[in-house]
Amino acid sequence: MKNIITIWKKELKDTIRDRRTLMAMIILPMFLMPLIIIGMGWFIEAQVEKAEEQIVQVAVENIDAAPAFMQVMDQHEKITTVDFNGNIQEAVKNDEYLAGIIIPDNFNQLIETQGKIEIVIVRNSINTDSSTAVSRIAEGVTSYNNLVLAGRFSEQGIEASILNSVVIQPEDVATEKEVGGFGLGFLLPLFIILWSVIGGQYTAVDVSAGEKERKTLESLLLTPVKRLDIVFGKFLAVSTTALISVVVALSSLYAAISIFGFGDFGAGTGVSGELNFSIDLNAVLIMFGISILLVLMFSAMQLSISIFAKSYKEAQSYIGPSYLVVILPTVLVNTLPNFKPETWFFAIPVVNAIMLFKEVLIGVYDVSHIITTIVSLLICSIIVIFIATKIYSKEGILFRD
Amino acid sequence: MELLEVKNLTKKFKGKKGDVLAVDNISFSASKGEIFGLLGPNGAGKTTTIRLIATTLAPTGGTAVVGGFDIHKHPAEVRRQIGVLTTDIGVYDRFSGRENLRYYGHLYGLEGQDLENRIDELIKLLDMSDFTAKRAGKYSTGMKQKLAIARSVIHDPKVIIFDEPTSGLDVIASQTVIAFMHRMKELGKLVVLSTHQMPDAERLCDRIAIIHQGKLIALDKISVLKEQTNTQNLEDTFLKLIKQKHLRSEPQEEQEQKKGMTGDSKIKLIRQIRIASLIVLLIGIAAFFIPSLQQYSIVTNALILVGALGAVVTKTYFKKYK
Repeated sequence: MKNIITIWKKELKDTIRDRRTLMAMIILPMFLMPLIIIGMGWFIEAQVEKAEEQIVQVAVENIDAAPAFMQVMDQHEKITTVDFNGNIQEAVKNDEYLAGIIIPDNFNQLIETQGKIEIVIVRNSINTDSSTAVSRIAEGVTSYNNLVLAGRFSEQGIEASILNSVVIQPEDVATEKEVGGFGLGFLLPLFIILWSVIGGQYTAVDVSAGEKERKTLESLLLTPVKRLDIVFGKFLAVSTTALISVVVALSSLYAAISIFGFGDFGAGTGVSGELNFSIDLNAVLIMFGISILLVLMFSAMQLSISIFAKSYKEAQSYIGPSYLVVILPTVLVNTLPNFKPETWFFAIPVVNAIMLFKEVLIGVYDVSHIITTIVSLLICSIIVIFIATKIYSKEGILFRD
Repeated sequence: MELLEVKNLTKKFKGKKGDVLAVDNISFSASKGEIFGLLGPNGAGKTTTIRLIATTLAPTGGTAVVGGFDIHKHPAEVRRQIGVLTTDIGVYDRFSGRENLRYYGHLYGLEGQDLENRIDELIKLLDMSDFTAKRAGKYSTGMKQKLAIARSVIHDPKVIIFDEPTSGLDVIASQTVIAFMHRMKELGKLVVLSTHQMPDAERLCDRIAIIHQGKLIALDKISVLKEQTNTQNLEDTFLKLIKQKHLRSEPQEEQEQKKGMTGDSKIKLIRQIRIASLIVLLIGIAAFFIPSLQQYSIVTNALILVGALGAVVTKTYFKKYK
C-alpha cells in the first residue's frame, strides 16, 4: 500500500509539472468548454436578434395600383418598399432586394367588388434573409386584411373584435426544474464523459509509454516493488487527474452559466434564457458516483492501451479511436427524440451513464436503473483493471525494443 | 558462500522466425570484493543475462541465487540485494536529481533522515553537489549517468551490476564511473561489469566470462586466459577464443525491409481525406448545436459519424505510412 501511494504521489507531481497534461486536465476544461457553450448561446442570440432587427428592402412592381395596401406596408417598421420596374425575379435572385411584390392592375377594383386578390411574392428560398422578408410581408398582408375586414364588418354594423374568436394561452405542465434539467441533459452527460476520457489521457500515456520512451521503466521494475503495486499506483494517478478534470469542467460550467446565463442555447429544446438549473443534491451525488466509475474504467482502459506502445506518439494514435467509442453513443442517445430505454439498456456501459444522468437531471430516480448502471460499470471497471494488471506482467510488452 | 551463483540459466524468446536462444545454459559464480566481467559483442546475451538475474525477465530454464535468495522463489528479495545500472539511463526529467533519488529511495523502503543521509553520501561520492537541485531534464549525459549510478545503489546493495556504464561518456565521466567501481570493490561489494570495451575490462576485472551467441565460451582470470591463448592483450585473447570455438559472428543488424511504394503521394492523399473528414466533423458538430437544424438531426449525426470515422481511419493510416 505504501508503494502504491509513493508511485501515485510521484506520478501526480510529474503530471502537474508537465504543461501538456496541465493544459488538458485543468486549463482546457476550465475555459474552453464554458466558452464554447456560452459563446454559442450568445452567437445564436445575436443572430436571432439581428434577424429581428433587420429592416428588409422589398421591391414592388405596380406600386401605384394599390395605394391603401402600400400605406399599410409602409407602416410596418421593418419593411422598406421601393418602386421597381423591370425584371423583379432577376433582382431578387441577384440579392438586390430580399423579396418582391407584384401587385395586379385591378387591385382597387377587386377590393371594391369584394373579389379575391392574388399578389405574387417573389422570394429566394436559399437566402434566409429573404425568408425573413417574406414573413414580414405576410405580417403586412394580415394587417391589411384585418383592416379591410374591419371596414367591411363595420359597414354591416358588426364589431371588429369578432375576428379574434380563438386566442391561444400556452400552459406548460413541466416544472421549471424539469425544463432546466432537460436542457442540461443535453450538455452535462457529454461533458462528464468527454472529460473523464480526455482528462486522464495524457497522464495515462506519460506514465506508461512515456516511461518506456524515457527509459525509466526498467529501473522502476528493478525495485522490489510488486508489479501490481506499480500498476495500481499509476492507475490511481490517471484516475485522479481524470476526476479532477471532470470536477473542474463541471464547476467552471456551473459558474459560467450562473454568471453569464444560458443564452439562447436551449432555444431548440424549448429552454428559455432564464434557465432554472437547480439540481438535487441526490442527483449530484449519483452523477458524481457514476463519474468515478466511468473515470476508473476509462483510466484502466487507457493505461492498458498505452503500455502496448513504444513511444508517446504511438500511444496517442492507439488511444485516438477510443474517443469514437465514447462520443458516438453519447451523441446518438442525446439526439434520439423521446427515447424511453428499457431497463436492460442500462447494462450497456457508457450509454447507461448518459441515460441515467438525463433521468436524474429531470428528477426521475428509478432504483432499478441506478443499480443496473452501477453494477454494470463496476463489473466493467474490474475487468478492465484486471486486464491492465495482466498486461503489465507481460515481459514481451514491457521490453518491446 | 558465493554472492552470486548462476546455474544453467537459459532464456528463449519467441520470434517471428522461430525461437531465439538468447541465453544458452550459462553457469558461473562470483563472490564479494570482486569485479567480475561479462564480456561479449553486442547482442551476445549479456543484457538478457543481467535481466534474468535481476528478475525483470523470467528464465525458461535454470536459476540464479543472489545473496542466498533464489530468483524464482524470492524475486523481490533478490531485487533488494542487487543494484543494476541499465544500458539506457533514463531519469525523470521533471524532477530534480535529489527528487529522483528520493523516489527510488522510497521504493526501496528507505525513509526520512536515513534516506537523506544516504543521498548526501552518494552526492559526495559521485561529486554531484553542483547539479542535484536542478531538474534532470537539463543534465548532460555525464550528469545523468552519475544520477543513474546513484539511483542504482541508493539501497546499498551487496551486488552491483553495471551494464555498459562508460558507453557514450567522455574521459572524465568514465573516470568517475571507474573510480566508483573500485570504491565499491573496496567496500566488499560484488561488482559485475558487462561491457564490450576490452580496455575497461582489462583494467578493472579480476575474472571475466566471455559470452558469445548466448553461450559461455570462457571463464577465468584475464592472465590465465592470455596464457592459454598465448596473446598479449585482451582483445586478441577475445578474438582467438571466439575463433577457437569455431563460432562465426553473424551480422547483428537486420536488413530494414523497404517498402516498394513511395509513401509521399499516399500521405498526401490521406492528408487531404483527413482534412476533409475533419471539416465534415466540424460542420456536423456545429450543426448539432444549432437549434433550428434539430429537425435534421439524422443528417447532423451522419456528418459527425462519417467525419469522426474518416478522421480516425486516416489518422491510423497516416501514422502507418509516415
